[in-house]
Amino acid sequence: MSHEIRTPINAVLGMNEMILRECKDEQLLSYAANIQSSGKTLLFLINDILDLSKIESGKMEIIPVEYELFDLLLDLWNVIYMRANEKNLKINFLIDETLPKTLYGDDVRVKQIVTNLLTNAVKYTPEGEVELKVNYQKDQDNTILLIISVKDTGIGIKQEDMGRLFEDFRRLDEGKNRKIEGTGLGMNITLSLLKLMGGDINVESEYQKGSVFTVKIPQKVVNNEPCGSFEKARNMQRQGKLGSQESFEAPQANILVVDDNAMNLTVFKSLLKRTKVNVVTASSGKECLELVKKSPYHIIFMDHMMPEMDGIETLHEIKKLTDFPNDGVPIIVLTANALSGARESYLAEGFTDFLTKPIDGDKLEKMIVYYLPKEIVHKKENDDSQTEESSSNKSEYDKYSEYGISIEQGLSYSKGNLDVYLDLIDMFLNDDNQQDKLEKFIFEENMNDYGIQVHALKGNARTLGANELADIAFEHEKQSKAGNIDYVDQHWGELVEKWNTAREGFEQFCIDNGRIEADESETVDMDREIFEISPEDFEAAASLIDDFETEKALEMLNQWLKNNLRQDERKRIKSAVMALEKEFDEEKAIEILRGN
Amino acid sequence: MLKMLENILGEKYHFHGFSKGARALKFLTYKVPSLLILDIDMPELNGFELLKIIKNDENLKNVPVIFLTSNGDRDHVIGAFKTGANDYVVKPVKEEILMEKVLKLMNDKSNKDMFF
Repeated sequence: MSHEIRTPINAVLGMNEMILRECKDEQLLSYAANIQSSGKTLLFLINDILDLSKIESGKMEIIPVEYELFDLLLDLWNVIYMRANEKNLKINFLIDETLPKTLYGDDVRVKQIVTNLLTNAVKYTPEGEVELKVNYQKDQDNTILLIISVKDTGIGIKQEDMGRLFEDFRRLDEGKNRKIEGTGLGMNITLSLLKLMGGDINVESEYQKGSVFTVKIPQKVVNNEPCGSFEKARNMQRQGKLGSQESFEAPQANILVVDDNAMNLTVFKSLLKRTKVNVVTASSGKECLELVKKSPYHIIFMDHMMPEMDGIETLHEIKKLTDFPNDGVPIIVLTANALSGARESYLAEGFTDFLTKPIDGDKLEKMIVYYLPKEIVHKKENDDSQTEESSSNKSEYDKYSEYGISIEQGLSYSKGNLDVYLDLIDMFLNDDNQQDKLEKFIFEENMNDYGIQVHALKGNARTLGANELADIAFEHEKQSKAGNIDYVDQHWGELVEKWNTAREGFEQFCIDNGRIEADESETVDMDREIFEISPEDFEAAASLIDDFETEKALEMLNQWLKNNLRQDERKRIKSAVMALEKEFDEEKAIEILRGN
Repeated sequence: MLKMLENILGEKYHFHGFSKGARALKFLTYKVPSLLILDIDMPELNGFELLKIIKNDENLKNVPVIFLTSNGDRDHVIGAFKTGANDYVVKPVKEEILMEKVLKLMNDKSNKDMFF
């Protein structure tokens, strides 16, 4: 049943996506943007209703399995961390270190319940923090009562509304909360699932102050060993050491990956470096078709969104081929579309499997092991040669948040491998072309290509942890897809500014990690005498700009850059040049040079 | 946008670009350009406000002004002409059209030029 409902909606959304990408008529584009947002809302609603109807018809089954408590909690952290981050909310997980390590129960449904509580908390909390607390009571011999509470500093619930909290489609304080997304079914599903598992829920709330939702769920204990520190587990996950204790090597394996974004291809290759898998890359559907006709691959990974020929079209073209060396090879789609139901629709198109972007290294490895012929996969114990990061790095990374960058997040996408991360940063810093391209598209009012290009920028920024830049790029992507050239034009400066800030942050990070830019002339040569620039010299350059002698000032600054400079001075001069040449903001350049 | 204008015009003319109206105004108290290309949307001081100031200034009122406008918005165009603009260009700017208009207005007065 669920598939029958989801498939046509996904088809509508997919076709609409084509309109958004290919249509040039602004009016039609704005209609299509509306179809997209309503379609997605409809899909969320349907997923909830399907769950509820399963519950009501008694078909919802609780499927208990053995699971690691920390796996569940880490998943919850990953889901909620991003959402909270977008709203600048603080997230706090307080986990009792004596909780049993391995439990037996329906981890999928436990996760669904707590995810619902956490997302509600984030949704209804405009500022402050959301706290998840987990502890337990011993119940019977091998059973515990898992006590999970979610506390927020949000808008709270009025006393008179408390009783209506679990009604279907109910959203309290409707007038005030009408802008909040969701179906209003979440709490009802939560309550039903709790009943099925023999648990219960308690709500305390103070209007305008915040709420605490506490659920108690009985779970069997498999391994009584204490789980230990969650903070430590999170750090280990960050370094890619959890869940991938067992790694593999497959030097005979050949994998083809198709993506129009060069950075994604590099990420992909880097993530698989230590597995010794041969990764062949193609940057378009057309190139992919040429390659699959020539040599055999064990797996093909294909991006969905590509210009000219997208992943689905390419897949269909491959399926039409006969007498070629890749008949029946698994083709896995790479997509940022993580909506539930998206998986089904990709499989219906003919893809073998589905992997969401940004690519998670562990999931990628697991998938590759699954699809590779067993005889060419050699399992091996994880070596510890990877860079060991101490947990104290977290606070050390905090300073990059002023550049809108979460190093922690960026590192986690590179599986905690600092070298891989720095390679990606290098690529980001050296891609000068992208900005010129975008600017050209605005100038030509080509919102179609602007949308595609800014989409790539958003993806790259997100992969590196440059969240502020990614957020702005995302807004530009949405607006350009809706054909809103005025918005893009007016907010271009804002995008450039965030872009430059992110660049500065990454440059600093490279310096801090001993990775100085590859260009020889950029490095400080300790054997040569350092070229000193006095405060008076800086003032002279600033005064030239102030007197509108910008060209002379630029000449002076570029001349300085040819010398053996201290890193901080080089950075300062480059920022000033950037402000003049790219942003046409003379006041900013003056401020930088005067050190204000 | 400015970068593109600079690419088109910078080879032939002396180009000075500003992203903010207030800074441009300060420039105008130093130097009188041969031509001004004005966008409507600018932070701090917008194109209309700046145009009004220029047209009320003895030294600047004869500087030809080309207005940049989106989608040929009629109200903007009429408003710009009423305030004293000499011509307008609709975005996306076609290089040849812009060059023709610039050439016509410059009328070989001098080889100086400025835009924002």
